[in-house]
Amino acid sequence: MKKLVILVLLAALILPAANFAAAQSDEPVTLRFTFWIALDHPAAVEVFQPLADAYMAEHPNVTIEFSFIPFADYEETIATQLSGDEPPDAGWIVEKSGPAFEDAGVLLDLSETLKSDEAYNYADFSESAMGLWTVDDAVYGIPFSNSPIITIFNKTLFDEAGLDTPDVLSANGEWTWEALASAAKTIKDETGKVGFVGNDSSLYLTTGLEWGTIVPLLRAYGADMFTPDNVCTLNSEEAVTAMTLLHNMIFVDQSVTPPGSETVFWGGEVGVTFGQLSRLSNLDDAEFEWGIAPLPSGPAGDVSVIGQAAIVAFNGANNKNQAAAADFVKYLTTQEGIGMLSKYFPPARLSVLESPEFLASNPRVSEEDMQNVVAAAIANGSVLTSHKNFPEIELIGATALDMLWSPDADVATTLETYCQLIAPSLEK
Amino acid sequence: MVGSRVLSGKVSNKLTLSWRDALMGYAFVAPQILGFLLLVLGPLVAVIIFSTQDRNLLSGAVTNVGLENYRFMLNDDPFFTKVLGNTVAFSAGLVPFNLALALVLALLLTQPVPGIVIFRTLFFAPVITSTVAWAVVWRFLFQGEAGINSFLALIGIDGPNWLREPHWAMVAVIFAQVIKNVGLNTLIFMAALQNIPKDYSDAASVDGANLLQRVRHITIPLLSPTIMLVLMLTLIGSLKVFDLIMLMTNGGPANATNVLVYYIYFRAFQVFQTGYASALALILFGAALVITIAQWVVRRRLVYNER
Repeated sequence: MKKLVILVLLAALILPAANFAAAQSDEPVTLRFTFWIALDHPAAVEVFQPLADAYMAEHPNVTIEFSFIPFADYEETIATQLSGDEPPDAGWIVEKSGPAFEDAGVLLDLSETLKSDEAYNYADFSESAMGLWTVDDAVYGIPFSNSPIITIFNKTLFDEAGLDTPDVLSANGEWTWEALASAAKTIKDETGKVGFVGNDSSLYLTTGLEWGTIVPLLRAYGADMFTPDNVCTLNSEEAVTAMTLLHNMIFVDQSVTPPGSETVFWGGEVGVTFGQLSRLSNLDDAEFEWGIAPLPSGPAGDVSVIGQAAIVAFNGANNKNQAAAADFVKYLTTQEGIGMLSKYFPPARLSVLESPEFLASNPRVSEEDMQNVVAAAIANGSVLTSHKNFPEIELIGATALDMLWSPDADVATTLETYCQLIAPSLEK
Repeated sequence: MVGSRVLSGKVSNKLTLSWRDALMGYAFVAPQILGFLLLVLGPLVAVIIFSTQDRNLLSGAVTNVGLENYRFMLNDDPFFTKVLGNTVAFSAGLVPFNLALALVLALLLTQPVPGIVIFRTLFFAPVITSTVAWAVVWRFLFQGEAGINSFLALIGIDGPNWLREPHWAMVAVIFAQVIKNVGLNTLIFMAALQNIPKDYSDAASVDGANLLQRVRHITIPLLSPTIMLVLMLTLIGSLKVFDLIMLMTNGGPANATNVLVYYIYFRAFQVFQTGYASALALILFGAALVITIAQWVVRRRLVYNER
């Protein structure tokens, strides 16, 4: 009995003290920040680490640790860690996972922190860019990367095949999907190299990056995977025409890396690919000439598709440092922070986007290309398709799309199956 | 008060000898029992409870749903039947292929031929190779336009796009898994073969039995306890295949290689439905249990000299 009394007294003494300690802002805090670039990636070394160092100098009690999780395992790793004892405090979330994380209630509402500070100037973020990350007044993330998917081409191969390059065609309004298919075939026939590989070398639903190729194609033909009110439209006439073109490129022209084979653009073996600005650092040692152009257009006109990644603060059941995490998110996304980040990640802050510094910020891209290809796409673009059940839709839909990647697949029937399969997940 | 203390002291003194033995015994098995309770029984009970809940790994939300997960599994899950079929197909393809190959290899590798040690090492090497490296290499070899198909092209065969065509993908992962693990079974068979007295075989030779007859009537029956053991281990192991599938095909194409354990992973960690995944895991546990019991029952009939 005595022991019990002592224990209760001790607990009574310790618990309020512990609470008090947590509320004190100069107590040591370690924030773990997750992203899917390696710790020695130029963007981590040149931008994120210096920003964290500057923040730690201003806040001596805060330690920032960056933590690398490969893109393919990112969501499942975060989900598992959030349910464990050492959840990440802040980090990146890709656009297609944003709604799922918001819906699960594990993202911290940053509106109070961001909107209360006039110097932060929240209104500076383009409204269309914020769409995925806001629900009514709540702000669940800041899209630090608002990066259009662009055409990247191997000029050396185009010259070898005697073709006009995509930037030239684009200037004349002739850079269409038909033109891409024809150029890919000519490159394959004339040089023996691969005509086209998808966004980030992905096309066949194994890495999660395939939508960067498929969504631009669908939108160029006036279709999409599904509508905002959850109707699957991958079985529409426009979608079938679009996917048939791609299917013919792969299996009739054989100008695209076939399913099951692996080719990367950066080695010089491919004529055209799609990608985002941050990927151009892969071309630093390229032994061929290259260039960038807008995405090919289609019957529905010009298309700009944006891939987003946001910085979020996590708010899972085991998170303890929300206030500190929110403050660091704010620091990273101030005008100055976004200005630094814009060297690799096109900004959603209008003041940065429209500044002459941004057009001159990327050492790999000319100011003219930054204006015509990157800034123009951000101004007109719409974000990649997403949904709160996207992880499920993506994986269940792959069952049907896998069947599309065989030579004798019937495109219309396969896409019909796709829509039937994902319907329950869309409506949930 | 005092009296009872004295009494209990006397009693415990009397029991000391037998108790000491018993306690010593318990102490020796305690680590194993504790480990079992903590690491096997605890999680098993948790999985049984989880399987009656709708649990979301991401949000941490939990609702009790009774048998709803099982109802969904049997009635509405568009993939469950397919996944179950794949699991059976994988085991049905892997087990006979693995056992037959292991037996043949064991018979060959126990022959007194110079340099046989080199061959033994060669066949055992894949067992100690990392599965990740193994899967990556085989994924490369099974490409549509390179690897194995380049060799096949030399002899005029137009090979399929192994990992992208549903039927061939299953064949390819079974093949990669068998070659990876056959060395272990071969080793067990070799050890058992060396325990069979040579006299039986010699006596049969004198009576005019040829090699095939000696294998059929002497080696196989005497080897049958080992065959049963290897069969059981391989079958249960085949139900648990995951890493190779994950790395070679991601369960694709079109779910053609989506086996039960991969599907559990998909539900639990990719779409965050841990409750439903737990129900699936219990089905797997049940299947392994039934197979084990069935094998113990039939071994009396099939295995030589088994009582």
